[in-house]
Amino acid sequence: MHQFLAEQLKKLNLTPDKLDPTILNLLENISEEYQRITNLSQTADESLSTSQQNLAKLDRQLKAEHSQDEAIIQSMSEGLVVTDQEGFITMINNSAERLLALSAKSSIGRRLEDLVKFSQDSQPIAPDQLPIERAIREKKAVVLGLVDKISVQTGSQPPVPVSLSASPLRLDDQVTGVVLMIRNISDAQHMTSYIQKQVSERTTEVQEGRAQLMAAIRNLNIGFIMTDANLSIISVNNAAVRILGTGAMVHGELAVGNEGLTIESVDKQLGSTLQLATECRKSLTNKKPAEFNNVAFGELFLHIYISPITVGERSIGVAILAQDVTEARLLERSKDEFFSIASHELRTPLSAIRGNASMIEKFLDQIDKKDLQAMVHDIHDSSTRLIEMVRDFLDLSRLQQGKIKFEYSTFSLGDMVNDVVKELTPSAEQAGLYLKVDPFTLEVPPVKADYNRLRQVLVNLIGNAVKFTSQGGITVAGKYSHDWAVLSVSDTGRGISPEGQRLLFQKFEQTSENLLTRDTTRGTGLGLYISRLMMKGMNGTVKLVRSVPNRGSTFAFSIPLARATNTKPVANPLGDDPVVPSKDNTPQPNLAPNPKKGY
Amino acid sequence: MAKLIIIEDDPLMSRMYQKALDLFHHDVTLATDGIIGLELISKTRFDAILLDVMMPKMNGLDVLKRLKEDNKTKDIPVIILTNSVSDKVIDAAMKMGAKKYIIKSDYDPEQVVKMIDEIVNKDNQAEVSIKSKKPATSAETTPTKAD
Repeated sequence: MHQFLAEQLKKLNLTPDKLDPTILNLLENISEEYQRITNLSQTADESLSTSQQNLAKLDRQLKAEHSQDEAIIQSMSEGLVVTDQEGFITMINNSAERLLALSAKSSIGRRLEDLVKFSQDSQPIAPDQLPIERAIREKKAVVLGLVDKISVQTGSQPPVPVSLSASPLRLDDQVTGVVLMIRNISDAQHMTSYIQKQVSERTTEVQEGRAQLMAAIRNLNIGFIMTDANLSIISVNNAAVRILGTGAMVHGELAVGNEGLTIESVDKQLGSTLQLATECRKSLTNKKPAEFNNVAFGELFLHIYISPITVGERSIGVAILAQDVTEARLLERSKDEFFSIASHELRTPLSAIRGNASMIEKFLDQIDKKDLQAMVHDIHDSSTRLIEMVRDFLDLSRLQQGKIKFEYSTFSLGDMVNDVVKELTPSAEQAGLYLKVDPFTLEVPPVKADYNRLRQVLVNLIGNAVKFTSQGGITVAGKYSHDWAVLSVSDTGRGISPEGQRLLFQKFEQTSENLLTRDTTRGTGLGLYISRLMMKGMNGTVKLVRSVPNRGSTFAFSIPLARATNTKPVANPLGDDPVVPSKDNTPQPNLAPNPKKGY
Repeated sequence: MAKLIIIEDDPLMSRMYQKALDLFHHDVTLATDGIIGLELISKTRFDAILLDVMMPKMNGLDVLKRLKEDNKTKDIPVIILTNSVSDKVIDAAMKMGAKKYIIKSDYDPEQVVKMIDEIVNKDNQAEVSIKSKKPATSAETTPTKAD
């Protein structure tokens, strides 16, 4: 029986044994029910107590979490401003307070645009373009970074460059507010401008380096061509156009210029001497450079170097260097030719001396007096030829080694001319030619030169004129201007063909065919070259002034007047010497403007 | 007596060899360059040709080439008489069919005449032997070059 029921029965002085069993049974049921309610009540109490405990714990947890969030929000370096859906500030963290020079107290419940001024690229931002407004309106995040050049200014504080990120807060697709994150980017900006400056400086350096390199390549005396992987030319320097263009010109097939120059065109000009395109492709494939010496290209000889341009494993093109080695080759070749000609020229008079002398010795009684006279004359003539040749060789060698010392004196050019003309008149008359002196020659003021050397030059010029003139004669004329005297020797000879004129200044014919096809009776042809070197040594010039085929030629030399103050007066009326004689000590083969060819 | 032509541009040289050949009673014609020489050879039959190498207009090697290309002249013995000592020229001349290469300064004219006689006589003998259907002796092709 439940205690409560038992107590109630006791109050009524009833005991279970006095009760009707039915009532007792009922009471028993009630009692059980009581018991059950009591149990329930106990359970409810226990649950309540647990719940209260849990609640308290939860509350503590929540508080802790909130304060942690708060701490995070407050201590984060980015400024954080939260607004409601109308743009009124509901929260602002410490960083934002610091950054914007605002206090939470004064800003909560107000709009940010009323507190600070935002500007972009130093221009105020229109109210509807402010990120908070846009985030509310567009319902999406608005981010303005470094490149947008945003700055914020509060009152009279200096503007601070910032980046902004406004994100809408959403609840069931409704924007309930905006979280604006503000970051001070002045450091980043400094860094950026520093980097920009560095980049700009480096770029300038690279550009300068490139410009220097390009200038060097452009002005390089070696032809430079750069192609892509398809062998299309992407860069070419002046020398390449000059060297390879010249070859192209020789063949007359190609216009000179960057546009006209292609690997194929050069290849075509090269003909069978070098398969340039094939070699380039080979170099592209095997990534190895290739070198070709003495490649004939038109009238030139080239040294060609092909180098692949590789990036990692990939060939992106080739660089081709083409050096004009014609001069060096010709030098080498004409050295051989010089010795060959020198040997030939020396042997000829020697043969005449030996041969005639031996015949006179053995067959004296069989030779009549007239023949004997002719033979002795030839011996004498050959000896003279030999002596002149030896003198020329020696002069040349000494001139080229700079061993000739010019002995300067002041003398009358007219007197020298008269002296030389007097000496050469018999040989001119013998050839049926006149030899005249223009009277004005005597009016030329005294010159300063080495008398004997200058005389030698004049003898050479008149001698040549006599050799190559069959009718008419030779006129020597002197004139002067400023600091210079100019003496010309004009003949009525056969003239010099343009080809011959080119050879006068080019020293020597070069091919072996031409070497054999030469007129050996006219000497080594050293005379003009020696005259040139001598005139140069005396600060003068000797030149072919004019030549008309079948009408005649005029050679002239210029020499400073004695009254000229400078050792090298300006404005030489004949211009500067086009030929610069070599000063090295190697035997110089480039002796001879070959005067007979066409002269 | 043989009928000879000297193709030589230098009168100093042609005069001397003409004199020497005169002394040995040869009939000598002078040509001052290759073109004149070829012209004369086309008109007259010579027993031998004395040919200089270094000449204007047409050099000796070119003259030799023309002579050997022409059926009418290819069998006339050609003796190169020169002062060019280049091995290349000597080789070229001998390959082209010159009988002998004589360097002028190395011999007295009398020796040169003897060498010419030898070739002319041998050539005549060879002609005889061909006519009598006997095997021809091989022609001398050694260049005569002394140092």
